[in-house]
Amino acid sequence: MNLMTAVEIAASGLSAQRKRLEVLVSNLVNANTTHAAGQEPYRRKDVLFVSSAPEQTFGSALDDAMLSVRGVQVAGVVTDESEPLRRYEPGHPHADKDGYVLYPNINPMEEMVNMLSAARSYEANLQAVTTAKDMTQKTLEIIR
Amino acid sequence: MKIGFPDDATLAAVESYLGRLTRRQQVIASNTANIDTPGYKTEEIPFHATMNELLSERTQQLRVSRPQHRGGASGAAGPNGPPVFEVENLPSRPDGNNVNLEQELLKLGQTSFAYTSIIQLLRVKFRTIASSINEGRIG
Amino acid sequence: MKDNLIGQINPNLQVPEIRSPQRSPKGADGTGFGQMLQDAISAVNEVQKQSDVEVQKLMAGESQDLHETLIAVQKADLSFQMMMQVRNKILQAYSEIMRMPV
Repeated sequence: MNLMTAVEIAASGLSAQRKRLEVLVSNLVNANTTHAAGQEPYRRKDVLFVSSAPEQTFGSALDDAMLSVRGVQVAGVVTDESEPLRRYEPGHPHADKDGYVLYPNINPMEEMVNMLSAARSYEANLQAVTTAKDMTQKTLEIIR
Repeated sequence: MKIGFPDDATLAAVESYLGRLTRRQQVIASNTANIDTPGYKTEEIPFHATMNELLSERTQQLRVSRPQHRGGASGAAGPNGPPVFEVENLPSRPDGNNVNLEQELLKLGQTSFAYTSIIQLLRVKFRTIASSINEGRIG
Repeated sequence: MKDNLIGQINPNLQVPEIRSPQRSPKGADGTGFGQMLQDAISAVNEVQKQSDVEVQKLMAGESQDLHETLIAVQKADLSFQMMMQVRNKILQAYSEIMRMPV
């Protein structure tokens, strides 16, 4: 049973990284969205990760609660409050009276790098799952 | 006349060590899952253990085998299991997280290999005992 | 020599006496073959019960580790095999003694 706890922990990591990836993709796709909803440009979003406590989330085995093993949760999606970028484009349909257009404060390169990091973390969690599975299968060989 | 099982101390220590490796794997999984959690600090269970440590961990585990009602804070590194330490001298990133992904993956491989090796040795041991019982049997 | 073999395993059962003056080797002090067999059987019973408890814990989700359950099961299995051999040897010794003249 205890090896399964590691799988649950890693699964929480997979889920969290996937949500993070979704948000990053959304940022990338909307890097140039000048009117997201109404008249405001799209604002960059990010996920907030927190450790999840074992009593709430995992297993029933006694000493798992004694160890400080923790998974991870997305506590929420936070919106970037920084100022949008102003670019001078008088011919743009969304230009204001001075000819400026408000663009999301998003750097596509940065979002790409973050996406790679999320993918790498995802892979690492997957490795933890695979390893736990292998160890469990090997355990069964005791009685073979 | 009692049927004593040969090598009971070694077997108990092996059971305890397999448990330790399992918990070590859990902690590594925790570290990995929390690689991007702000402020999270890397934890670890020591890979090596003396016979005394293993045997005393085991007797404690056997003593506390009643199911416990969940709820209420439980401390880390309890009297019921191998000790969990925070790893020192790790550099932190700007968000306060100090988990090193490569290190954790290395530890994952190390723990898994040790575990499967010990299971294998355990199998050989049991096979040997079975042979010694069944060789020269009567019918 | 057609003794009831089942009766030989349970020392409390009266073994039908074929050779008249000979008593069963279960002596007055109770430390004969019967007692040895009894001890062996109850020792193995303990191990089997322990193994069953471990499996029950596994099913109820109370088991800490799969390897603990499996090691207990394996030990029970080997103990049982050992008991079978001990039983065989005891029976063999018993029947050899019963064969002895006098």
